[in-house]
Amino acid sequence: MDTAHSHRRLTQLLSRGSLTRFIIVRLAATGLLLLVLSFVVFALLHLTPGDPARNLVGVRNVTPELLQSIRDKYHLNDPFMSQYLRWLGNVLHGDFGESIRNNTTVTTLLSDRVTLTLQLAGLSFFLTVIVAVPLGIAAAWRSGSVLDRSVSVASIVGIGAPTYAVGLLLLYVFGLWLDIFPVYGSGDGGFDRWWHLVLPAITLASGLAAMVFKLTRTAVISELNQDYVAFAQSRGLTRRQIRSLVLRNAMIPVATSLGLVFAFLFGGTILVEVTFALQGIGSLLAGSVTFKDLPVVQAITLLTATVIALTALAVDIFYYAVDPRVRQRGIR
Amino acid sequence: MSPSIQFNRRTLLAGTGVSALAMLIAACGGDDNGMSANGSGTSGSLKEIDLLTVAFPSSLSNLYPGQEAGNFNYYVACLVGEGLVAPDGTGKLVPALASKWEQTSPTTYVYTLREGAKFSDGTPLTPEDVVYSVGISKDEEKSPNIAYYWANVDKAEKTGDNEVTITLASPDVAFEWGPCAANALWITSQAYVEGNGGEMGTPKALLYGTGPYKVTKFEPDTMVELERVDTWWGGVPPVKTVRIEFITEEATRVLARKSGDIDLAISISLDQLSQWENAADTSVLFAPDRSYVGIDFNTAVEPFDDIHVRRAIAYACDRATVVEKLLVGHAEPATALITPDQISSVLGLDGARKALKEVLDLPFDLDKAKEELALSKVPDGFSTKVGVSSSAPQVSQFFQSLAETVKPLGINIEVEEMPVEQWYDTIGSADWGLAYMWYFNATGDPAEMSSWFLGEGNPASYSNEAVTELMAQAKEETDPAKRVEILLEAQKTALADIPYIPLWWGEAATAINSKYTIEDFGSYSLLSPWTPRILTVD
Repeated sequence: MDTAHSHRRLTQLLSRGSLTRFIIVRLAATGLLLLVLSFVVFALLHLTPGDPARNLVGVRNVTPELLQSIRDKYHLNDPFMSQYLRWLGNVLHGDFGESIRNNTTVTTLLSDRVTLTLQLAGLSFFLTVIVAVPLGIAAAWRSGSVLDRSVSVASIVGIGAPTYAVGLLLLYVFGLWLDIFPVYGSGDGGFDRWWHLVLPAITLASGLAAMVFKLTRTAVISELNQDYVAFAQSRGLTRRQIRSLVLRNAMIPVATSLGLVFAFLFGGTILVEVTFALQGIGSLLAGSVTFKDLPVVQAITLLTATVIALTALAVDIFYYAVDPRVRQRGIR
Repeated sequence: MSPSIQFNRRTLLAGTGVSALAMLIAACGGDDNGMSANGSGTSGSLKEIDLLTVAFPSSLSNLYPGQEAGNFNYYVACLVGEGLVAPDGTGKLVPALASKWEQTSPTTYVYTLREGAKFSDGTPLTPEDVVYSVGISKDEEKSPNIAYYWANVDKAEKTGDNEVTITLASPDVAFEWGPCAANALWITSQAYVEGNGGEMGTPKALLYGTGPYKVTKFEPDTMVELERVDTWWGGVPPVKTVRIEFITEEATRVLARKSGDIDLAISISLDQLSQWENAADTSVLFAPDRSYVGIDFNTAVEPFDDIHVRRAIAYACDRATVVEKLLVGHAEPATALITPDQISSVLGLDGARKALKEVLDLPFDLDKAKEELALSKVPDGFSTKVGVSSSAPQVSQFFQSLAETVKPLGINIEVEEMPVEQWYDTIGSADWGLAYMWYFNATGDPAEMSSWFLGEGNPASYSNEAVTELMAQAKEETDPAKRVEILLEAQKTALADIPYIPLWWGEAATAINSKYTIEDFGSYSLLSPWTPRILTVD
C-alpha cells in the first residue's frame, strides 16, 4: 500500500464518525498519555532520594570507584534528559532495558509475573461478577426484603474490611482449620495454580463485590422507577419482558463499574500478593520503587496504564454494542 | 540450563559417603562453645529426609551472591557452590575445595586442590576453573557485591596440575576469608558460564558448582528447589530435596508452619516470637548471628564533633534494658565493634566476651551524661534527627526511648523512619550527624567491620594515627592470637574517642518442625553445607 493511499484511507476513517474512527483516536490519545506518564514517573523517581548503585551493594565497605562503575554501567550519572531519551529510544525499539536489582531483562522479569497477576485479577473479576451482579439484581427486584437487607449489611462489611485482615482470616479458616486451600504460593502450574489463587481471589473480590453489588442494586432500582416501566406495565407487558428492558438499561452503569473494577484489580493486587506470597507485578513494583529500579518501575507503570486505557476502551465499545442511542449518535 | 545428571537415591548414605560425611560433621559441628541454644537440649540422629521445606522472610531474585548478596543468598549458595576454604562451627577456616593451603610469603597463598573434586554433573574440577572463578569474583560488573573483596588481589594463576596460587598486591591477612563460599568465591566452570552467555544465578543460568546440591528449579522471588547429587567430595547429604520458599509476610509464614507446609523458618521476627513459640510441633532455636548494631556519629558534623556531646549520649544509652525489653533477651549488650563469635576461635567464647568487655564499658548513667553535656559547647542541649530503616523496628524503638531519656537534658532527637534504601544514604552522610549501623559480618574475620569503621573513608569521619598504625599492623600479622590482640587494642584506642557507641550484638531465631533439630546450631551453621546438620529427633 503506498503512502498516499494509506493516508487517504486514514482520512476516510477519521472523517466517518464511525466506531473505527473512535478507536483510532482513542488509541492515539492513549499513546500520548503513556508518553506523558512515562516522563512524569521517570522524573518523580529521579527526584526521590536514594542511589540504585548503593542499594545494589547494600551495607558494605565499598570504594567510591566501585559505586562509580555500577553507575556507569547503568548510565546513572548521565543528565536526566539523556537518561530519559535513552530509555525512550530503547522502548520504541521494543527493549525495556535491564533491571538493576535483578540483573536480568525487564521483559524476562515481567513475563511470569504478568501472567500471575492477570490470572489473579481475572479470577477475582469472575467471582465478583457472578456473585455481585445477580445478587444486586435480585436485591433490587425485591427491594426491602430479607435478602436485600442481609446482603446490603454484608456488603457494608465487605467494603469496610481491610484486604490484609480478610486475607489472614480466610487463611486461618480455609487454610489452617479446614485445611482446604493452600496457605501460600502460586502452585506448580495448571489446576494447582488456580487452586492456589482461590483464597487470594476471594480476598480481592470481597470488597469489590460489595461495591459492584451496591452499584447494580442502585442502577436496577433507578431503572425500575422510570416512567417506561409503568407504561410497559400498563400496556400489559409480561414481567419477563419488563425485566429484560430494565436490565438492558441498567447494564450501562454496571458495565462502567465492572470496567473500573478490572482496571483496579490489575493495579491493586499488591496487598494480596504479599499476604499470600504470590509474586505478581504488585509486589515487584513496590520493591522496585524503593530500590529506584527505574526500568522495572517504568515498565509496570506503563503496562498498568495500558490495561486501564484498554479496559476503558472496551467498556465504550460495549456501550456501542448494547445501546442503540449510542450507535445512532456515534460515540465521542 | 541445569546439569543433566539425575540422581535418585533411596538408600541412605551408602559407601564412602557415610564416613566422609561423618568426618565433615565432626569437623564442622564439633564446637563446644555453648552456642547451641536448642533449649530443651534436644538430640537427634542423622536420618534420610525426603523433602525439607524452608521458608525465608525475604525473596531472592538472583542466586549468585556476587550479584545479590543478602544473608539468605549465602545460605543457598553454600549448598551448591564451594570456595577453596569454608568456616567450621567456631569460625575457623577449614579445607573445602582446597585440601590444604599455605601462605608462602606475606602476599602469596598457595592452594592445593582436592583430588577427585567434581562438579554436580560429574565434570572434574580443574585449576583453570578456580582461576576463572576468581576472575568472575574480581569483576566489578559481574560481581558488584564482592569485587571489593578481591581488589587487593594482584593475580590468581595455575601453578601446578593441582595447584592455584593467589598473589596479593599488598599483605592483608583478612584475605584468607576471600576464597570462601561464606564470603566471596563460588567455584564454577568457564564452559558452563560461557555456555550461558555469561549469566549466573538466573533461572536460565542456574548456579552451578561442586557442592552437595544442584539447583533444579528457580523462580525468582518465589522459590528455589535443590536436589542432592552424588558427586560431592563430602558424601551424599541426608536431605534429598530442599525446597526454599520466600514468604515475606510473617503472619503467613507462621500459618505455613502451623499448617505443616514448611519445616524450617529462618530468621523469624522477634515481634511474633510468641506466635512461633505457641505453634504446635515447632521449636525455636536461637544463635548469635555476628551482627552488630550501634550508633555512628559523624565527627565532622556539629555538635557531634565535640567528644563531650558524644560521651553524654553514650552515658544515656541503657544497653542492658534495651536487650532485655526490646529484644526480649535475644541479643547481647555490645561493648566493641567485633562480635564475640569472630574471635571465639582464638579466645573461646567466654574469653572473647571478657576481652571485648574491656574495650568500652560505659555504664548507663544519666548524671554523668548531664556532666558531659555541661562541659560541651552546647551545654543547654541541641536538636538533631536520626534516620531509621523501617525494616529495623527495634532500632527505631531504641532511638525513641533514647530520645525520651535525653529530653530532660535539652537534647531533642527526632526519629525519622524510612525505607532501607534511603537509610543507606544516611551512613557517613554529612546530613546525618547522628546515625546508626546494623551490620552483618559475612565472615568470621575479626577485622571485617573494624577495617571499614576504623579505616579510611569510615562513616564517622574519624581519624587517629595510633589506630591507623594498629590497623595496618593487624593487616600483616599472621599469628591469629597476636592479631586479635592488636585489633582489640585498636578498638580500645578508637572507642575511647566515642566515634561509635556499640549497642548490641544480635541473635537470629529460627523455627523448626520439632521432628527435626539443627546440630550445634550457631553463628556459622548456615554458611557451609548445612543440611547434614539437620537431625531427626529420636
